[in-house]
Amino acid sequence: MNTYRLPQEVEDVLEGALVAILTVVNEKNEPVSHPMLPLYDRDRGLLYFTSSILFSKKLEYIKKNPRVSVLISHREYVNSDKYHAIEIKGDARVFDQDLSREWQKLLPLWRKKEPYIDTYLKQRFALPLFWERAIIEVRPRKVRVWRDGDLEKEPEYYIVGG
Amino acid sequence: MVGAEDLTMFEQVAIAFIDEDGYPSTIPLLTTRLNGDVKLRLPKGIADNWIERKKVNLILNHITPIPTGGYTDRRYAVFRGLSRVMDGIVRVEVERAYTWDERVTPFPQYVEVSTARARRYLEGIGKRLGETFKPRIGLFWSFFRTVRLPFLIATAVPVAIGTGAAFYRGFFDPLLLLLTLVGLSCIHLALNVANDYFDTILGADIANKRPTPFSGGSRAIIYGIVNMQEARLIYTSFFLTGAAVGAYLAVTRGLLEISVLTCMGLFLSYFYTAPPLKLAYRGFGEIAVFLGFGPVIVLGTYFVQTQRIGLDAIISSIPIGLLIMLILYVNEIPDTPYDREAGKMTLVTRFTKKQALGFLAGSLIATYLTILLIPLLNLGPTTILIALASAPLAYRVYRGVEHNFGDPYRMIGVMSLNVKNAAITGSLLAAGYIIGAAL
Repeated sequence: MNTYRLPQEVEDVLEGALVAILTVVNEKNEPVSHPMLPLYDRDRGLLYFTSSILFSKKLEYIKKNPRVSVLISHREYVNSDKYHAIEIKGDARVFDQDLSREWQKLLPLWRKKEPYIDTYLKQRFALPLFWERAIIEVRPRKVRVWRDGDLEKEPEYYIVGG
Repeated sequence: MVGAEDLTMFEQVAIAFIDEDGYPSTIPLLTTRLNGDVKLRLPKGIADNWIERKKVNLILNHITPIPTGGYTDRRYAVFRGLSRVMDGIVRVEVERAYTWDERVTPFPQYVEVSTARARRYLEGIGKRLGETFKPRIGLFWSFFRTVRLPFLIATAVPVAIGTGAAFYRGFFDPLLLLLTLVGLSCIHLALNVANDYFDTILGADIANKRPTPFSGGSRAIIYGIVNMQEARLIYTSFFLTGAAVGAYLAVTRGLLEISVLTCMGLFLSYFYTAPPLKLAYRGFGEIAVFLGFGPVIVLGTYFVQTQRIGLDAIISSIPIGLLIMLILYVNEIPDTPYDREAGKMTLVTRFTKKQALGFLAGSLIATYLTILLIPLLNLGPTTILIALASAPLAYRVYRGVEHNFGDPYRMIGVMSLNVKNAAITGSLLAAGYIIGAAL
């Protein structure tokens, strides 16, 4: 199904997901996966991650090959009324010109998922490199949804972007 | 091979591969038990041949959601290799595997081992954008971290004791006290930065992968908050300022005595880690700290006020010298494996656990015995015996070290308690002199 934006129930799951598996492609054209906190901006229809420069390999991979996929699965890891297992393929961009401040525009989304984040941020001086962070922005292109998280049923497919 | 027990530790199981469209694909897997084995099965809608004989990542992931929001108890395992799929059942011929479990490798340690990568990334961006990038934590926090500001308590308390002992003899000049405190604080801050500078050159701080707020240095150079040139400039400036204040006090209060004590302070502070002496690397760091923060500071402060040196001042410097030495000593315990690796043979690195605990107990007993001796030898008022009130705290320090010996993160609490013990005991000792004078 072609759609201009993600279906609402998919957006609900993305907003409530505590963890996602982000897969990027390395220089050997092999997948490399990382569990990460997904931040979904419903207004823009874009999925965000922030990555500390301590764990920056994925950033280098994305700069060379922007194709990524994101998996949201397991009911307990999604804080929302509805749950679906969702795989998103998309194109990613890395924003790393201002590692100290730019990612902080995502703090409102981050705060919703980890309410204690401000406490850690106040102690930024304790782990200074951890708080130097790049933004990974993922524009969804193809979405696969196992409705209600039922992996025994055929998934639904969406092409995003019209 | 992923065992059934491994899988029970993870709820989220997925496989990633490069799809026909060139995008990576990350697919959830079903886990089913078959004849006692755990099988990983593809979900509906995913054909065997999409994955068969492809380079894949098998990811096992776990978090424990917190009811009030967020999560904890993170762990994951990634197995990379060639996949074999038959009838929807996935096997991975593992070529490489890596895991992280925050109960095994606490997050601060996990972060620490990646420091070099982060520095490289910052340098890369700096080259791309044509400017120097540093972690931005603000000027105050950069200074706070670089000079290890809270440790100034180790200067303030001996100064208070020297002042208290002088006050007991009827001498007190607040301006001289302020000058003494400023001069000694400058030398102490210089010592802290010089210590980081030379520990970085000599490899001890780089080797340390489990630093804490009390051990492993300030990390300011390691994290790139300051570079080596800046660190050298900072410690040189502080040493020069401290020496200038010392020179002024020498000229105005006693040339020989203040000059000797200032030179001793500067010598011990600089050569604590600086080559060729590297006192801390040769097992003399503890005695240097005892002398520097005990007799040198207490006698110096006392002399500036009274213009004389007496046995009463010398004996009053011993307990605080021992307690500040024990701050260093206890903080060195978590650094032991890394210090050994870097050839920094501190006293603790030369001891067995039993010997290390014996030295700690002996030093604590000597501290309180000396306090007891001061009024007994008529070298101070009986009111200084209030300093003995901290003995239960000292006992808790000993038990805490004994219980958590060597585990850096579990030792944070006891290292903090040890600093408190030195501060409280020293403050009570100073207060004892002042109360004794008032009575």
